[in-house]
Amino acid sequence: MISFNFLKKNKRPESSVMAAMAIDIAVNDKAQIWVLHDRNFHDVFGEHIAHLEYHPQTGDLMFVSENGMSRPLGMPVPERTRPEIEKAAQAHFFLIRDKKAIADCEIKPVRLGVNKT
Amino acid sequence: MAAITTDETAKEEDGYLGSISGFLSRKWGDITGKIWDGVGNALGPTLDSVGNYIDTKIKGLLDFIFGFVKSNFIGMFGTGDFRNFMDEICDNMHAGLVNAFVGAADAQRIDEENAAPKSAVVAPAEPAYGPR
Repeated sequence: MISFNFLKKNKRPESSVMAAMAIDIAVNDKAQIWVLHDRNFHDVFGEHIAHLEYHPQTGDLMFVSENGMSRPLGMPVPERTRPEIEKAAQAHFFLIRDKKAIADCEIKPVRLGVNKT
Repeated sequence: MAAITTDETAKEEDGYLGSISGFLSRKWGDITGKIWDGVGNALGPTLDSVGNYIDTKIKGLLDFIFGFVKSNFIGMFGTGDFRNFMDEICDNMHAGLVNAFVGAADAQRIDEENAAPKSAVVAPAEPAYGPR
């Protein structure tokens, strides 16, 4: 039986990035991160992304805007990629047109976040 | 297995470079135009901003291209919409393949299983995503 909590947790937060656009994050063994997305962040959220913030304690990955607004990816970072994301200094953002061609690229810093308890 | 002759090696390299070239023009046609548009737009303010703009974009592209060739992907996660895109890049660039993809549903399942009592935990099998 599926519990109510499961359904509630399984739903992506409406404010999450995954709920707003197609987005995949690839991580390699050199602690390089590629963020592939199909919509311009400014068009969707009305502001540009300033940096990524990774919270090692929870595995949350947050997209922080230039105005300080923080939006979660929408899923925790999988265990196997966590050590590399923790080491990463920057992420390459690639806007992909029609899921086929790179339309734009940006480099953003990756910072470690501290969880509020 | 027959030994590869010099001619065959050359042909193979030509094919490889050809596929890279075709791949780059398919994947990076848009961004190349964008860079030059950006140069045009940046010409207004200062020469420094032009340099910074080019540096950032070019560095991003070079890191992207050579990063793929030299690296091994250890994982990919998200909505899963770009799995084919990554597949094609890996196929064309002879790069390390992404050997696992985890989507939101998988992450949820893993979380649920990790939260379960130890005796009930079954090691989550990550869906294979790599060499075909």
